[in-house]
Amino acid sequence: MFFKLYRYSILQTMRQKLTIFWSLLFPIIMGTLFRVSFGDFMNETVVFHQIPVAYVTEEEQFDAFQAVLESLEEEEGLVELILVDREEAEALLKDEKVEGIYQRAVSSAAQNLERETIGIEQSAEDITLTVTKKGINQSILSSVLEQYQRTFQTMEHIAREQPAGIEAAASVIREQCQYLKAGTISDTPKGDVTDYFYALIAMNCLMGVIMGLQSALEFKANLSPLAARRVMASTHRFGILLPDLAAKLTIQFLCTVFSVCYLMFAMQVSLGEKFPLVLLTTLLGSLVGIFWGFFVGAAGTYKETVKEGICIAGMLFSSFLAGMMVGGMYRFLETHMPVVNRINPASLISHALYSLDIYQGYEKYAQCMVSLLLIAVLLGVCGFALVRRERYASI
Amino acid sequence: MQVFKVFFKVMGKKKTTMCIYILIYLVISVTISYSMKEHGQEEFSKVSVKIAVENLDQGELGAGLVSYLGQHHQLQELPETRLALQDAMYYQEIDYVLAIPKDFTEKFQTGQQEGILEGTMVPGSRAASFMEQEIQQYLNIVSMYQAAGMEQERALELAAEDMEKEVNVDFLEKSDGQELAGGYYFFQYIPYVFLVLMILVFGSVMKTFQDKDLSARNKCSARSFWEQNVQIILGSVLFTFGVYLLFMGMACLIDFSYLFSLKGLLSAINALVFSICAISVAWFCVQFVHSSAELNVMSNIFSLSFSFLGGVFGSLELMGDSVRQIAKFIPSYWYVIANQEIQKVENLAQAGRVYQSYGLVLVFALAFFSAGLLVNRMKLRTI
Repeated sequence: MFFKLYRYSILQTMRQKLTIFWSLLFPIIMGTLFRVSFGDFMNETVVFHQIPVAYVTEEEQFDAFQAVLESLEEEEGLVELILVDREEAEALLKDEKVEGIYQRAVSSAAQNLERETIGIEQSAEDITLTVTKKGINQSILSSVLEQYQRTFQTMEHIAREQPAGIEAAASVIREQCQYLKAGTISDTPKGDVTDYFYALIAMNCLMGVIMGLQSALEFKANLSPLAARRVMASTHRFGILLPDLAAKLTIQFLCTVFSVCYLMFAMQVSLGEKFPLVLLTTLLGSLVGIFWGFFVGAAGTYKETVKEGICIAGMLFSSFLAGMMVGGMYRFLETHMPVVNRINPASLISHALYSLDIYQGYEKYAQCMVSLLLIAVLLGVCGFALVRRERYASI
Repeated sequence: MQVFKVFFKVMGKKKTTMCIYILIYLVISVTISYSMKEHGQEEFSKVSVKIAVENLDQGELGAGLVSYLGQHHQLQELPETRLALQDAMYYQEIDYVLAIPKDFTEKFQTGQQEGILEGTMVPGSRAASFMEQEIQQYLNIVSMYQAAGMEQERALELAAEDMEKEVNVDFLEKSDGQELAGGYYFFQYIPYVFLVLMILVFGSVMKTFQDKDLSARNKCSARSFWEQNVQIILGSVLFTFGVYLLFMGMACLIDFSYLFSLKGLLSAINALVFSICAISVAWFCVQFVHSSAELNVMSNIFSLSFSFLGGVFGSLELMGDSVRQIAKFIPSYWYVIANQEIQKVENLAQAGRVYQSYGLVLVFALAFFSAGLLVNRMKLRTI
């Protein structure tokens, strides 16, 4: 009996095209759009790449700054040097093919004569940097030039105050000691952009509210003609309800799993290595979604449209609080109103996924899962209590 | 003008939807306009990185280094636990953590300098690379003074003086790096709200008129087919202008000076051109729907996909080359391009690319209108 009704319910749910659209296709469309719009955010704005820079020089003799840039290109991989004339350099900068232009001004005869008298071939002050925006890459280029000019100034100070030590100071430049050793906090670069994907999966799980609501509407005789007919049957009422809820949970879970797989494997969104636990989270999230919808459907005698409005608004608001529309929302609430993050289902699902991906241990993950389980049990028990032993004198 | 009156009567049923979207848009655009205003500036300055320093050093060098970093970067409090630190680095509240050991000054003086400090960062982070460069630079200069035989106190004094030296960085064009007006952000998100409103509101009215039984009844009424269509077109034009004027009024309230400048004028024309395109898209969409629920699906698909792919949400710069090529076939892409180009325009003669974008959006409007008309005619033949 259970499996017969379960099968019918699965077939009936799968034939509801709009429900399937919202549970299956909409998250896929959103995931694709997120990936296209800011999926490369980490790679483009956070992760370091060799910085392309143009150098314009008309000096024919040995150029010390050019040598510095070549060393930064070959030994440290910091910059990617392109030697061009000013016109071409500007075109490259406008087309964003280079991040900046270094240019050495042509020295006048008087300047050359002055330098010859003090024994310096080229001045660090002659070099200028031109950019089109203010960013980390431009700051690094500015820092390279600063370092070059500051080193000149340091040598001047030493020449003035401790001339005997000038050779020792020069050896420091040649040796290039690495004062820093690196310690990393995680294996892969992650940023708060991934929050959008966690929140999207959370929203996908909570899309189950629509199916849960349908289940309640088709179970309460005062809400739909189908339910009225079903109530007439001699079958135990929970014998009708449980297969229906199980079928809806199955469909919702499969839709969410499909979306997660699509994000992970087709869109290459990194959600960590713990795939079975990600699936467990989506199963519990889907259960919360189904019971949420069922509870709203079972409570009160409002019209179907009102209940649907309450469910969708609640689901969207919950997703908004988890960071679906505005990035960093979870963090903001954690600082100002942490209690919201402890009871909001979408935040709990989203943070469970985050904990799996970011933390080494399972303490935070377990906390989120226990909270989700409690919410599911609470909604389920309340929903069942509302429909239990319901009798209708008139509908 | 019975048809014209009915047009707005049906539209009246959607006033709650309109109010919700207008309110949401107003809140979002005002918030973004004010929060983004802080970022632009006329002169170049280096990016300030958020760093947390754990300084256990008892000597002067550690304090000197922290003091230098504090002048140019934002020193943050070091989180107490590793989990809290992971959270802070994930949310980019801290870009770099520098640990200075307690015997740092002594070891540095005795030449044990290799790997003396530990920096923790997000793997491969460019902010961290920049930070490392800054730290290396400071310590290199101190090391040079020490190697030359100077006392540490004097070395730190001179190093601090040397580190004060900054280079002049120029912007290629005057408009580069300049603050973007609040109006820019207001106009940036216009495509999303126009598409949603036009598809949902105009779509629901047209769906009513295209209902099989109702349209059959209308065809045998005293009003000619031509007269009915003229009234519907008049209603559509009035609705489009109404929505447009409403948003221009909001733009006026948000950034009055921007709207009454050359850039504001070009932005207003851009929005007008897009409103025509949005109503054409809505006309196209309505040919495929049979219920309000389907209209809702259509409005979400078109508004979100046009907004994300067109660079309305997110940024065109973050898109891959292939995606950007595809985005060129979406009208909102050209709207965004025009909005960006408008910010660089000083006089009308410089606005060549802006006019080109207007033209392309109008071509898209024509294409969607024609496609909608074609589908409509094909549907009529099958009835």
